[in-house]
Amino acid sequence: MDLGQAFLDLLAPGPLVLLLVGTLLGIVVGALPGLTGGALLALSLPFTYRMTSVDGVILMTSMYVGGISGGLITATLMRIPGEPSAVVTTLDGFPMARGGRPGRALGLGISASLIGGALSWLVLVLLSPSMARLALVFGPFENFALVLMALVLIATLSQGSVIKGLLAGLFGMLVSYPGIDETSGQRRLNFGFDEMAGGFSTLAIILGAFAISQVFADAMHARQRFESLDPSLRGIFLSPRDYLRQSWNILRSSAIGVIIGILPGVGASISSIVAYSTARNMSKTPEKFGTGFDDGIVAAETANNANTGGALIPMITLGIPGSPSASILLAALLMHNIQPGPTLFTNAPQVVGALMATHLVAHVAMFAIMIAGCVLIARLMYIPRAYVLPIVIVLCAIGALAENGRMFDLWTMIAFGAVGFLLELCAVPLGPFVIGLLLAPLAEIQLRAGLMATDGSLWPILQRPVACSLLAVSAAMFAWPLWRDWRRSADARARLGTQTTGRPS
Amino acid sequence: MKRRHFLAATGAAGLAAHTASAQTYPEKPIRIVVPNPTGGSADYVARFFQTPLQRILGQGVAIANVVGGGTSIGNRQVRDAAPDGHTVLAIHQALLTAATLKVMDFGPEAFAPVAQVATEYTAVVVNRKAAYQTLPAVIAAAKAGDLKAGVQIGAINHFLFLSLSDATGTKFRYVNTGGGGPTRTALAGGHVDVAFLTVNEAKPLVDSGDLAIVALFAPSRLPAWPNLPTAREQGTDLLLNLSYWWWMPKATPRDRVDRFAEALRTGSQEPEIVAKFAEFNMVPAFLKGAELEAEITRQYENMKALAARNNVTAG
Repeated sequence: MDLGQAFLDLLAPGPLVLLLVGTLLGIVVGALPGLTGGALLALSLPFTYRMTSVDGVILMTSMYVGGISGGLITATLMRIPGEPSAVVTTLDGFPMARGGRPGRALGLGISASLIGGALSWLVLVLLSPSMARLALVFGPFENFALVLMALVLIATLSQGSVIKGLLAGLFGMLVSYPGIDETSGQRRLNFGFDEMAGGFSTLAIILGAFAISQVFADAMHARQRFESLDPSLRGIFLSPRDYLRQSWNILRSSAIGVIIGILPGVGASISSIVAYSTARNMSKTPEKFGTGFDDGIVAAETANNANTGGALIPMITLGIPGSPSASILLAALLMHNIQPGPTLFTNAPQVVGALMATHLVAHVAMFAIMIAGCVLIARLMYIPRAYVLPIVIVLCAIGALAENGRMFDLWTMIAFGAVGFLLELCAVPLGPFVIGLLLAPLAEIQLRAGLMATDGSLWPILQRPVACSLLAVSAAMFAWPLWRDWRRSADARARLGTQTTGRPS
Repeated sequence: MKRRHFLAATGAAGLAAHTASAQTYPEKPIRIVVPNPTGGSADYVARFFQTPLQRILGQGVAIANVVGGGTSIGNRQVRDAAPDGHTVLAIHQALLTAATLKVMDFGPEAFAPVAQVATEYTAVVVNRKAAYQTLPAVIAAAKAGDLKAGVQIGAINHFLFLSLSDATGTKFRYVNTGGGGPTRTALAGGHVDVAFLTVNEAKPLVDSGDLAIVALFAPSRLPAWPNLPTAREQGTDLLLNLSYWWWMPKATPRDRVDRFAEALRTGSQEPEIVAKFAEFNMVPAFLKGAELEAEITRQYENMKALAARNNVTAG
């Protein structure tokens, strides 16, 4: 495979137009609430049949990159995650945008996406064969321990009351249970309703809890405008000092994104959750997370773009897709009679070259398109809410219906809109709710599969080095913030103590 | 008198509608529901036929992946669709397994079977590092200790193992690793010991040196894999395959069912699809009408008996 030649081929007019169209479509669909990059890939699958395999790969890879990146726009400006993987971006992106710095919030997210993607590209090109083996090391117990690490975030993420955060997390887990019990193949908690056999759609719940509830809340102050906005969109481009300050965060979050991307059992949303929680736990100022803090946006957006490079690694070297979107890409290749796997590099080197070159160039294109569009996009914040809200409702409804074509999902979305609105009214945070919802099913399936393999014994989880160390890390991540807070309050008490004892004279 | 007139009139109208229906069908685009996610073998087969069917029927053909509830959501959607031949279900034995396990309160009897287009024989696959590399060795190992079998509980890959253990008197310990893709990964990582996969699913990890195919449960060797022995050659006379079936809502007029079945037959003889089948190691095996119904009944009864004997009829 000649990567230089692949880049040259890609820069010819035809492929380049395809790449730009794919990236742009990906960004738009990724930004639209409800329509996900995965849905776009599935929809465009039939169009790739008539293309050459190289053109198909260029189109789909650029859509994949664009889709993952576009999610940050609506997450930042409207607190509506365009993609489930952008849920964590809402935590700091939205407060910063509402606080009057939408340009800065978008700029941070866009630059972080580019750098995360580019770093994962380096791993994809240089280390694919060796890194792909990681996909095999992770069995059910390892996956479970990893998911647990992300679940611990529920405890640390809660703004304000820890009790309310835990409550929200448990509620999220609860609503993930109805449907099919994946471990026995049986229906559970469907209360006799046929429609409930599939449970609640995760996408419909996220749309409801974030987008529809925000519509309810905004509708109460529909006439309000944001007076404090900075109209110059200053800060879209980051200064060298910004990069320097974020360098460690970027490297760490990229590594987390790539590694989790390689693992087939867990998705892109987990990589941003883990990266965010790691950044928060290692930060000297953890209390700033969730209030519109640079580090939070950078960690989340670096990780979910780094995830794309990671997910492609086992796909091209072992034929194992690392994410649902990668599995659609795999389907496209198979329909072209191209079997990914170790023989791909010899049988279809031009396809591997096109995929690798597109992954990088699409990231650059994404950066250019999003920065250029930023000025227009950020104006969304100035449009009176009364015009924006109906459009948001329609887009969400389309998204909820498009997933499976079921009215039930639409009702689910509206119901969880009300639930989300009530939760926020009671100051119960939505972040832990969504994390519980996304992670509980994964944790359950992996743990129960592991227990089936060991005949119900939990001990082997401690005998497996990877699983055991991940458990230790989760325990540390759980205990560390508590201990830090305790020490601080102990310090404060001690100071208070010396003050009172020092006072008598 | 009046009543008789009425009957005659409706009868005539019905007949007219009947003949008209065959001539005009399909009068609008056809929706093919695949109750599995994009990128599984049931999905591939539906997509092979998408373009040829458009050409043959002269109407648009859309594929909708309606996922959830262990295929029951998509199945139910087709069962409840207007029985006019414009909604079609493409699914293999998952319809039977879901009914056997009572995940759905209906089964194949709730549909009009249209056609079978192909079958795909399955194979027992092990890790290349394992001590057992032939079918007798796998069976011996399973009898001696507990071999962990990667399956999706209640899905077709679980029933394939039940058939094998029934025929050979062995027991496996089932681990819920999921469908073909994730199970293959777990097998390569050594997290389970044995799995039923299609040759195509196993291929990339066979090429990488991680997996070895032990036995193909087919009547004869595959042209593309001349060195892969069948189970029959190794003393276990068992045929285990996926059957790619198409269905319509129960009340769909027979002539419309037949028109679509014939379109599938014509399509499956086109060089494009013949080549796809060969590439995916699928065997063209067209069935319709009474033959198809007999085949479905045979498999369904067999499956129900297996489930009862092995006590997997939960619910």
